[in-house]
Parts: sequence; C-alpha cells; structure tokens
Amino acid sequence: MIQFKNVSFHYGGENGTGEGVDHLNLTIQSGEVVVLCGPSGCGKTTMTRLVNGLAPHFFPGELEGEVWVDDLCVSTASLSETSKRVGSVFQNPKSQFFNLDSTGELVFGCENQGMGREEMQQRLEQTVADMKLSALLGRNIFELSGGEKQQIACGSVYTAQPEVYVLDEPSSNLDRKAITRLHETMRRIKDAGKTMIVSEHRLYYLMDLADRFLYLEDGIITGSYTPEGLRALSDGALAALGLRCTDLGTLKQSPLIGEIPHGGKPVLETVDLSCNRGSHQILDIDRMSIPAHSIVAMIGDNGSGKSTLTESLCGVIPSSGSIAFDGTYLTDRERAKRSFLVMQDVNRQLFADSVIEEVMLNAPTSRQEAEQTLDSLGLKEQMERHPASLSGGQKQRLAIASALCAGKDILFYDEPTSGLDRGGMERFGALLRQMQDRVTSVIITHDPELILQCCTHILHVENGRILSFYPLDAEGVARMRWYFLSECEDSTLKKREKLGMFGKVLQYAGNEKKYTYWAVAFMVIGALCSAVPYYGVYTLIGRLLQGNTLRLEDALPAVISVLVFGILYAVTYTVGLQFSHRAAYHTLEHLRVSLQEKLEQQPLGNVQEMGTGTVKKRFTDDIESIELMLAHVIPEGISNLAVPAVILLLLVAVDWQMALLTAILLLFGFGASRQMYSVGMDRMGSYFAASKRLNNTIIEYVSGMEVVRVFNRQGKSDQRFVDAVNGYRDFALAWYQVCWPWMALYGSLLTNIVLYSLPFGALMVVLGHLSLSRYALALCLSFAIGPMLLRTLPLIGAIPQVNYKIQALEKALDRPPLKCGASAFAGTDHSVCFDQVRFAYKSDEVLKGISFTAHEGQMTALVGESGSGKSTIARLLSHYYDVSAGKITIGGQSLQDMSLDALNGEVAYVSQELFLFPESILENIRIGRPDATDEEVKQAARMAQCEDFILQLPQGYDTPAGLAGSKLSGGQRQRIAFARVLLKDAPIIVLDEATAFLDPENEQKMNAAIAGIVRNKTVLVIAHKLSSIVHADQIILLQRGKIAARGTHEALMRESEDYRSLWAASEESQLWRLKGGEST
Amino acid sequence: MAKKAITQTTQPSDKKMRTRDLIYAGAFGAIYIVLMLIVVLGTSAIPILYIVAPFTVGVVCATVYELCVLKVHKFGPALILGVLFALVACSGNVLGMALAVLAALAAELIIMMGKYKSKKLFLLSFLAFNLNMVCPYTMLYFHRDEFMARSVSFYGQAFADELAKYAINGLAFIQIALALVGAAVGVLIASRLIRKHFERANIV
Amino acid sequence: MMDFSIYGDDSNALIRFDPRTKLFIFLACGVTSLYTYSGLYILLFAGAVCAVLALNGKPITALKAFLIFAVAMYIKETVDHAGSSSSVVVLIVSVLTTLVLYSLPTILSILLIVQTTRISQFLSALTAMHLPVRAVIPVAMLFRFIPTVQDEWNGIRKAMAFRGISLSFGSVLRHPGKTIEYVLVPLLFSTIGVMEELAAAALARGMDVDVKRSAYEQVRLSGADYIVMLLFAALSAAIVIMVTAKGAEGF
Repeated sequence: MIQFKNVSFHYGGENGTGEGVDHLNLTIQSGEVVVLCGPSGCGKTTMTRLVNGLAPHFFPGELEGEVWVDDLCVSTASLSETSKRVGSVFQNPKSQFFNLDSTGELVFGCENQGMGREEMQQRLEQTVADMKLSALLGRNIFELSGGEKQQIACGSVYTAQPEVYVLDEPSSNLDRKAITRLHETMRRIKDAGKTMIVSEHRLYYLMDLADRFLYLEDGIITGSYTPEGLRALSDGALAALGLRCTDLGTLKQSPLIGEIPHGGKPVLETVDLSCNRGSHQILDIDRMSIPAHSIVAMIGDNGSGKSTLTESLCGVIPSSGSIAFDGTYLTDRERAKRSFLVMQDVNRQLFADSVIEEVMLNAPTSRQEAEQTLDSLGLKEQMERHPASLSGGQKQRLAIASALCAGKDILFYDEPTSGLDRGGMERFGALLRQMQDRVTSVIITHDPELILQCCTHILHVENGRILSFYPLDAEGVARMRWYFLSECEDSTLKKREKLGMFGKVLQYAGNEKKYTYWAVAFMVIGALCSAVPYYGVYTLIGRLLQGNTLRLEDALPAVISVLVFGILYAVTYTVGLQFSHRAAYHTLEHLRVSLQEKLEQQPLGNVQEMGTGTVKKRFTDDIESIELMLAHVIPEGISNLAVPAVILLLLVAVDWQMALLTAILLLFGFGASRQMYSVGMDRMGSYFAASKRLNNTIIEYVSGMEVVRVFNRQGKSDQRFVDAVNGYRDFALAWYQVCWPWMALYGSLLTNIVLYSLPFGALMVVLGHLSLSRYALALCLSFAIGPMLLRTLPLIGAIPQVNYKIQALEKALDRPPLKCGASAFAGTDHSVCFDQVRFAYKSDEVLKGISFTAHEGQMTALVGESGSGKSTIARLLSHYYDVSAGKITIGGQSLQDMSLDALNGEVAYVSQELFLFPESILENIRIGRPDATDEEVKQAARMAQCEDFILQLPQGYDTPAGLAGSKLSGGQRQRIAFARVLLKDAPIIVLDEATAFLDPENEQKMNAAIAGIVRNKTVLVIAHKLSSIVHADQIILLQRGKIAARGTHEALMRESEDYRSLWAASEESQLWRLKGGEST
Repeated sequence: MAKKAITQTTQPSDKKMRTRDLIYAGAFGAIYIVLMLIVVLGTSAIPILYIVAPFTVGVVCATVYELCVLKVHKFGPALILGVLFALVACSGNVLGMALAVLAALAAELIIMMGKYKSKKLFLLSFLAFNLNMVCPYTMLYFHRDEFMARSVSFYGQAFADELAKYAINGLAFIQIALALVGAAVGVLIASRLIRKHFERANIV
Repeated sequence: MMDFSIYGDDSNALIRFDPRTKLFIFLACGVTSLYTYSGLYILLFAGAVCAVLALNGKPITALKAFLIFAVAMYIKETVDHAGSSSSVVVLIVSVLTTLVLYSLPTILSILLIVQTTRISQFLSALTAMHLPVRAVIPVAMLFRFIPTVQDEWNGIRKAMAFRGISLSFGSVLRHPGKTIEYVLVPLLFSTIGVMEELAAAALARGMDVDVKRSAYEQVRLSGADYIVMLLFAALSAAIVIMVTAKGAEGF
C-alpha cells in the first residue's frame, strides 16, 4: 500500500524545472495498477520520484508531508532502504543501465543489497523463466534494441523482488514491437500481484492493464478515471485534457492535412543505394523517390535500417549508389550541406551560447530573417537564452529553426515525438504543415497519432529495403493503421558478429580453413627461401669486390646454396599455391551451397520476382568473379607480401639505414595507394550507378527502336541516350581525375625505390659507412621489392571487393524465408477459407482484406478486371508468398503450419503459362504424379482433350517437348497442363485462366472435363470469359483488391451492376474473337 | 553561485564523496580519457604533435576537469580523475602512475586551500593536474642509460653527456613547460566556456 | 571513427584466467618496464604475455603482437651491431624500438584485462580483493561510460557535418578556439545529461557506498592462475635481479 500524506514538493537548486506537486493525498492499494497521466509538466514524473525516493534524496528540493510504502516512510528512509521495496524503470534505455552486460544488469539490484550468491542465482533463474529472458542473457547491452533494453530493465527490477514498481514513461523510445513486449512484461508483473505506478503519455497499451487513471494538472490530481470511464471519453474530450488516444483503432486523419503532392519533380531520388556496416550490407534499395513538399513518415520496426537510410541520404555515413536532390546527383558532403537531421537527442546539435547565435551559426541569413524564423517557431521570447536552458520541445524547435535559416531543402527527424504529450505532438504536426511550402520533411516515427496529424506519405522500410511507399489517402490510412494494429512477431535481435575483411571470406572456408593456413605457412617459408640466394650472390660479389679472384671451390657453397634454395622456393611456392587454390575452391563451394540453401527457403514468388536473370547472375557471374579474385588474391597476395617483408628484414641486416629509407618510401607508396582507394571508393558507387543507368538506357533504346521509328519519336529517345552517355562519361572522368594523381604517385614511388636508394647508398659508401659489397646487395634487394609490391596492390584492393560482393549476395537472399511448418495435412475437409487476407506487392496493396470460403464439392469462380487480385489469390493458396496479414486455411488448418510437400499433395495449380521440361510429352504429363503408369498418363491426356494433337506429333507421346514445344499452340499447352492436374488428382484444384487460349469447341470439351472432376473436389476457377463459369456454385467478383459482390450467376446478374457490365464486356469480346477466327 | 544558496533541505551536506559524486567522477574520467585519446591519436599522424601532447591535451581537456571538480565540489574528484588517468595512460610504468597520482593530489590540495569556494584556485589546480601528461613519457627517462650507452660507443663520453643534458633532460623540461602552458590556455578556455555556457544553463 | 571495443568476450578462451591474475600480470609488466633488460628476457617475457592472451581467446592479437616484438627486437639488435651513423637517426630509432619493447607488454596486459573480462567479472574480482565500494564505483563507471562518450561523439560529428563545422586539420588550425568550443559544448551537455540520469537510476536501484555490495560473478583462482602468477613473479624477479646486478658491475 502506498500513501501520500498531504505531500508537496518543489525542486530547488540545479533542477528548477518547475514541475512540482502540491498537497497530494492518495492511497494506492497493493496489487493496484495506477497510471498517472496529464500534459507535460503536470507533475507525473515528480510523483514517481516521490515514490522511489529520488525526490528529495537525489533531486534536492523542498518537501512537505510524507510518502509511505507499507510501513516505510520513503521520504526519510535512505535510497538503498527504499530500493528494496520500490523498483524503478526509467524512460531512457541508454541511461538506466550500470552494467555493460545484460546478466550483470539483471542482478544489479541484488548485488547492491549485498545478497548471497546462491540466492541471487535462484532469483535470476526465476526471473529468466518468468519473464522469458533466456535469449537476452550474457549480451552486450549496447547491442540490444530499445524494447529489449526495457525488458531487461523490468527484469532487473523483478529480480530484486520489490512490492512496488514505478515506471516513468517506459514506452517513450519504443516501437510497436517493443511496446507489445513491454505490455506483456507488465502483464506478468501485474499477474504476480505487484503494485505498479506508471507515468505515461501513450495510454492505449495500458487500457487493459490499469485499474485507475489519475489525471494531474499543475501538480494537483484533478481527476480519476476507470479504464471504462477513460475509454468513454470522446476524442475531443481527451484533446481538451491534453491526453493521447485510448484506442489506435479509432484514430482519424486530421482534416488539416492539405492536398497530397504527387507527380512533379521529386525532391529526392536514389538509385541502387546500398550501405555496408561492419561485415554486413544493411541497405539494398533499388529505387526510391520522394515528391517535393511532402511530409513523409518513415515507418518500420527497430533495426530495419531507418536510421541508416536517413543518414545515408543525408551523406553523414558513407554509402554507395547515387542520390539526387532536385534532380542533381550530389556527393556526401554536398548532401550534408543541403539536408538536416533533427536528432532524437537534440542536445548533441546545439553548439552556441544563445538561441539567436545558434540559428545564425554558419547560416547565410541576416539577423532579421533569423528573428523572423524564430518568431514563426515561437522562440522569439527565448532569443537571448542559452539553448541548454530550454525545454525539450523548445530545443527541438530551435534545431529546426537552425535548419531553416541554413536554407536546407530536406529535413529529417528521428522520432521527434517520443515523450511528447498530446499538445506537444499536435503543435509539432502543425509546425510541419506550416513549413510544408518551404521544405520537404521525412520523419522516422513510431507514432501513428503524429502520422495522422500531418503526414502525406508513408515510407515503409523493412530489413533494409523499401517495402512500400504510398500516399496517405483513405486507403493508405487503412493500410497504415493495419500496420500499427497488427500483431508482430516476437523475435530477438541476433548477436551482432564482427568480422574483419578476411574473416568474412574465411567464414565460408569452413573446415577447409586449414588449407588457407597451410598455404600461408608454405608461402612464408618459400619467401624465406627466396631471400637466401641474394645472400649467396652477395658473398660472391663481396669476394670479387675485395679483389680476390674467384675460385670454383670457394664459389661452390654459395652457388649450391643459391641453387638449393631456389629449388626449395619453387617447391614450397608450388605447394602453397596448391593449398591456396584448394582453399579458394572450397570456399566457393561453401558459398554456393549456403546461397542455395537460402534460396530454397525463399518464397517462390520472391524468387520469380528476382527474375531468373538476377538469380543466374548471382549464382554464376558474381560467384565467378569472386572465384577469380579468391584464387589469385590469397596465393599471390600472400607471397607477394611475404617476400618483400623478408627481403626488407634482410636489408635491415645489410644496412639498416638503407632499409629505413626503403621502408619510408614504401610507407609513402602505400599511403598514396590507400588514399587513392579511399577517394576512389567514395565515388565508386556513383560510378557504378551511372554505368547501370547507361546500360538500362541502351537496352531501352534498342528495344524501343521499333516504336521510335514507327512513330517518328527519334529526337526524344536520342536525347535520353545522349544524356546517359554523357552522364557516364562525366562520372568516369571525374572518378579517374580524382584517382590518377595518387596512382601516378604510388606507381612511381614503388617502382623506383632504387632511384632514391642509389644516391643515398653511394653517399654512405663515400662516407665509409657502407661497404661496396653491401651496397650492391642492398641495391639487388631494392630492385626485387618494388615490382612485387606493385603487383600486390590491386590484389589488396580486391579484398574489399570480394567482401562487397559476398555481402551483396547475402543481402539479396536475406528476405524473410517462407513461413511453413513441418506438419502433414490435417484438415477436416478440403474447403478453402480466406480470412481477412491482405497482401501487398511492394507499394501496391493487391488484396485488401479478402474473406471467402470455397467449399468442397463446389466450384468457386473468381472474376474481375485484370489487376483486381484474382491470380494473387491463386498464388497465395499455392503458398508462393506469405500473406501480409490474415489467414488462409484448408479444412481448418493454416497454410503456414503445413509443409510445402503436404500442401503440394492437396493443391494442384494450373497457371497461365506452362513450362515444358526437355523430356518427352509423356514424361511431361507424368510430372503430375511420378508413379503413374503409362496407361494412366494417356487416360489423363484423353480426358484433357490432348490425345488428338499429341498423336499428330511426329513421335506421338514420345516426342521430345523441345521439338514439340514450338509446334504447340497456347491452347494445346494449356491442355497438357490440365492433363497434369487430372493425373495428379489433388483434392483442391486451382485453374488460373485455364481456358484462356482455347477455341470454343475445345473450351466446351474442357468445361465438360472440369465438370467431370469437380465432384468431391474444391475447385477454384479464375476466368476472364464469364461464359465458362456461369454454372459455378459461387462467383466472387473482385474489384481493386476487395470483394465487390458474390453469389451465383443469376443472383449477380440480378443484383450487381458491376457484374452485369463485366458480363457485357466479356460477351462482346467473345463475339469479337469469334469473328476473328480461331485464336492462338 | 547564488543559486546554490537554495536550501537543500534533505541533502546532508557532508564533506565526503557520496555515491552520486563517485559516479560523476567516474563518468568524467571516461570523458577525459576518450577526449585525450582522440586528441593524441588524432594528432599522432604528425609525430611532433605526439611530443607536444601535454600541451594539446591540456588545452582540450581542461574544461572537462573543471566541470568535474566544480560539479562535485568536495575532496576527491581530482584525485579519482588522476587515478583513472594514471591507470589508463601511464600504465606503462609504475613510477609514472605514482607521479600522475601525485600531480592529482597536488591539484586536490590547491582546491582545498581555497576551501572549495575559491573559483580561482579551482581553475588553478588544473595546472598541477595537467603535469600528469608528462608522466607517460617517464618511460624514456628510465631507459636513457641505454641511449647514453649507445651514444657513448658512437661518439665518446663527452658528446654523450652533452646529448643527455640537452636531448633528454631538455625534453623533460620542455614537456613540463608544455604541460603548464597547455593547462594555462586550457584553463582560460574553460573559464570562458563555463561562464558562457555551463553557468547560464545551471550545470555548475 | 573511434571505437574502442571494451565489451569483454572470452567465449573462445581455452583457459579463463581470473581477473586478479590479469591484474597481477599488469602489475608485473608495469614494474619490469622500468628496467632495461635485454635479448632473451624480452622474448621470454613478451612471449609469456602473448601466450596468456592467446589462451584467453585472442590468439590472433597475440600472434600479431609477438611478431611486432620479434621485428622490433631484430631491428634493435641489427642497429646496435651496425657501425656508425648519425646520432639523431640512431636516437629516434632506438627510442621507438625501446618504446615498443618495454611498453608493449603493458599495453597487451591492458588489452587482456579490457577485451577478455566483462565488467561484472572485473568488479567481482575487485570486491573479492576487498577493495572498498568507494574505489570500485569510479572504475566501474569509467568502463560503463566510455561507450556512451563514443556514442555521443559519433553523434556530434554527424551534427557538425549538418552545421558545416569541419574537424579537418586545416580548419582546426584556423579556428582552434571555436573548434574546441563546438566539440566540448555539445559533448559535455549531452554526456552530463546522461550521467545525471544514470546516477539517478543507479541510486534508485540501491547503489550506496555505505552498504556492502556482493557480486554475482564468481571469481576463483584456479591452478592455472597460480601457475601463471608464479611464472610472472619469477620472470619479473629474474629481470629485476639481473639488471640490478649488472648495474652494480657498472653498466
């Protein structure tokens, strides 16, 4: 039980924020969950601090009255005493942990109490079990997501087992997934019978947890609501109280949002944007453009790459690809100049000592203009104050003002409304609308209330890709709302692995890693051997130079050693080369296998979407180029580096000063080459993007040639072609221009070491510091080093490229795998049920909440215009894709529980196109059921009206499909496909435009065949020709992803205007086709 | 400083550092050390700047030090900062660590002389504190016999003595001077920044 | 740009040494670095530090470090035995090699502590050594706060890019005062903010200098720990005795 006895508190000293409380009298029963709400500055946080004792023990101030927790007066007890009864969870996940590892943090409270180890162990185990934290144990706190951090914070309190939990705005920094987790955690705490006091702005997630809502205003409790009472308040009433919504489902879009800008010139465009962090590619964005004067909400779960995308666009982190502002491609630095990011922690971006100085800093505006801007943002009165003394909202506006004064085109915001009350959020939304004419805004946000206040577009990011970009019209609002309301998966962020350049490649070497090590060992031994002959030569020269005549027996040992070590070098080098090749090819093998494994788990739809071209390119071309690099980089790189290193060391022994000179020259050379790579890589992305644009334009140009000539549009098309070529030329030249000075520098340094060491050595000889023979040897050695290193340089440059390609490959296949279970079919019957199914291909939502049931023994027809979503339904039922939302069941069993094999046994799908394998026609039909006998196959062919034309083929059933393929018409192909289905005899049959290419006579036969198999089966037919489905048991009319009408043909003809017009159109085209003769 | 007068009714104003002060001291230690590493590593591309690190670090880090001692306002923060600094920066040799801690102790004593009130002495104490930047280089003095020996073998005793006098002892004096000058400049910057920013925002 | 990884990871370790052993090695390195010892001893001592590092799960770092030792030794020996040369170059080379040879063991021992020990283990060890809470808290806080400072620093550099404040060498030279202000002001404001919240959180969870803390992480000295400590004690003693004896002969 918690009691406030006439409590007043006002901050003093450093924390004079004015958020005090007055004359609080309150009793909270044990096990009660009380939510403190009210506008910012109402005293909610102060109340939580009074309970956990931080006020007045940490935040000094004047206190009257007493706060009691059970029999402890927390106002006078020490904090350590209070902490045994009261546990606290704070707002900011980044500042509430004392440890760097999660396990340490969980037991932190217990350690502070001086608890024994056994007891701690026991409690820790219990917490982990109760709160389901096992995946989070022993992790680096800095790598956890915000939601996971809050889970740990709650768990840490739970381990200390206090009776009272105090949570101060725990959801402020969380996304929807994390709020779900927080909600679950709080539910568990409540179920354990603990008392909870929550101070919070977001109310909707607390509605089923709270027992009582206390409303504070200016430090006084002015209202108390039950959850029902609060829910009953209208939106207007909540707004008057300054409270946020209680139910996300009822949120309405603000009528103040102006016209949604579309068309026109996009203010921001990107092509082929990718960004690599550590050893992973994070972004993979094909194309994106943002219209001018829009307010875009960037949504997506934590860790989906929103911040990385934003920072790449702003040019503050390196990325590759091209990004254009207002149609001009800009470098990183130019983009940083023209964009601005209002950070979540705005303290980081305030530099000056007064508000006016802040906005004038490096800004090209006059003081007068700056004052005007401040005035428009309501900061005029604060002009002379220090930025740090402003409130959070004011600081945010100040940062915006500084961006406006600096004349930025695009403003990005990182979760600007976390921790804002309703008033603050609405003011912020109004501000964005007000600025709409001047700038384009992109907001990373988890706050649907803000989105509905001001945004015009939604940019949904998932897993480093743009999932969709759509305007926020009525349909967009429904789609967005669905995102925020839908259940989200509960997954734990994976441990981040840190791998260096070599690590990434070696990861794929697997068990054959040892070959790499052997290769290195042999190469190094070889390098050592290669240095010895130099020494032999040196002794010989030494003798000669000393004026001795060279006799054979004196020279023999040296000559022999030169020979022996030369041979040794050749042998070890060859062996090493062998090992390294073995390593390289094994690595490639593992790479291919792992990619194939990933590809298999992908939804079939995704693979198709990528196009066989892309998949082929990835599997063959990209891996091929990696192969080339691996097989050369590893062996030659190692030997070319090891030999110079050994020689350099030898040179140290000969004369260390010459070695020093050489080393310094080499360092400069390497420095120059590094410099070249770093400048070169900066522009590499743009260069590649330009070349891709050029390629695309060429393809377009060539394939459009016919149209261009026919319609005489040459001028326009030529112009585009010329532009692309020029663009490419400019980029290539720019790239080369940056690189060539460095290339020249390192080239000359590395090849001409002797040029510098020759005079230096001569000087040393003259001075008598160096003997002539050593000088000669040193020169020999110098000669050897340069060319080798020069050969190494491109190889060193190749390693990042290999890495880049591997990362791109991994990224291409990291889309979420198809969700399918392992269970066999266990449905009660074979009726197919779609329940509120939604599905989106990229930005277009194709199905918008489809529900219907196709019963067993019936024929269900799906009709509608092209693009209404008919074929999508068929593909979803065959599990080509996972649904975006909703559920598909067969006989009550969810599609996602079934294994693909099981599903294949149940569903036969005839698509519009037929793929014939290069086998005989007989075998091609047999694919339907591999264990069918020849007779069964022929039977099926007869039923599908195939036999006539098959027998006319040169070899009948045994005609190879390749030979027959070109002779088969579309209708004949469809009949072969149908024969397959008949043979397969699956209980559910999906026919997607199965009779599209048939002539009327065959169509009739086919319809008869279909009618013949319908019995006891579930049949779904997608048809353009409505005449073929007039007898269907149920006809579903789809319009733009929704069901417009359903019923039998007669009923629909009677009731549905849309159906009648569709029918009329279909009949008309039928006539037209009949007149046109047999279609192909 | 006037703001401090507001009654901290429930705050026992003892002289000993309390938990919060210890946490602050540790955190400032982290800021100090990270900044120092940024300065030293960021400038080490040019070797001469590595030798003048006592100057550059003094200039940059003075503000961090002053905020730390002003925020805690008791005996101890400078010493803790010094010990943490010694552990990280002078860990190459035990004597260097000891000297660094001594420098910090001297700084504490200067603050104490001002009875934790004199702002001048707070500022001045950094001059003593920054001497710790010389300590990492003490390593060289311990091994100077070795350099000497080598020089002797090359050039004879007389030249080596000269060398020792100028090159090595000279280096010590130069570095101490650098540390003091750096600290002085740093303190000027610190006092300006504190007046301009941190007092206006009620941080100290 | 700055990333000092200080999250201890000993998951690949063959032997997990007690933090106290690591501290002992650190101390041994600190003491021996004061003495000029030569040849074999350097290799032995450095080899021992590298071996411990390798056993504790950082074999590649250890190997690299040992190679650096070997090369530095090699250069030092050849330069010593080479004939005459100009004094300045000799001095610079010998200063550099000396620095490497005598301070690298200590740097490695710090790496050993920082990269293979989690903070909670380290604190447990300090507690087990009966250090007062007063001493433990600042050290713990130091480790805890370094990633935060790095984080803030990275954020501030980005913020600077938007405001057209450059940290390039030229602009630092041109406006040294301004640059220092633009670095320090946001860094201190934001870190002090975090610091205060952190202190509040720690206090609210019952951290108090006047209450004895216990430690969850178990630290126990095993046989391996004693062997390593003995080894380092013996090595350092041998070095100290050898050098002092030589000194008596007139080095």
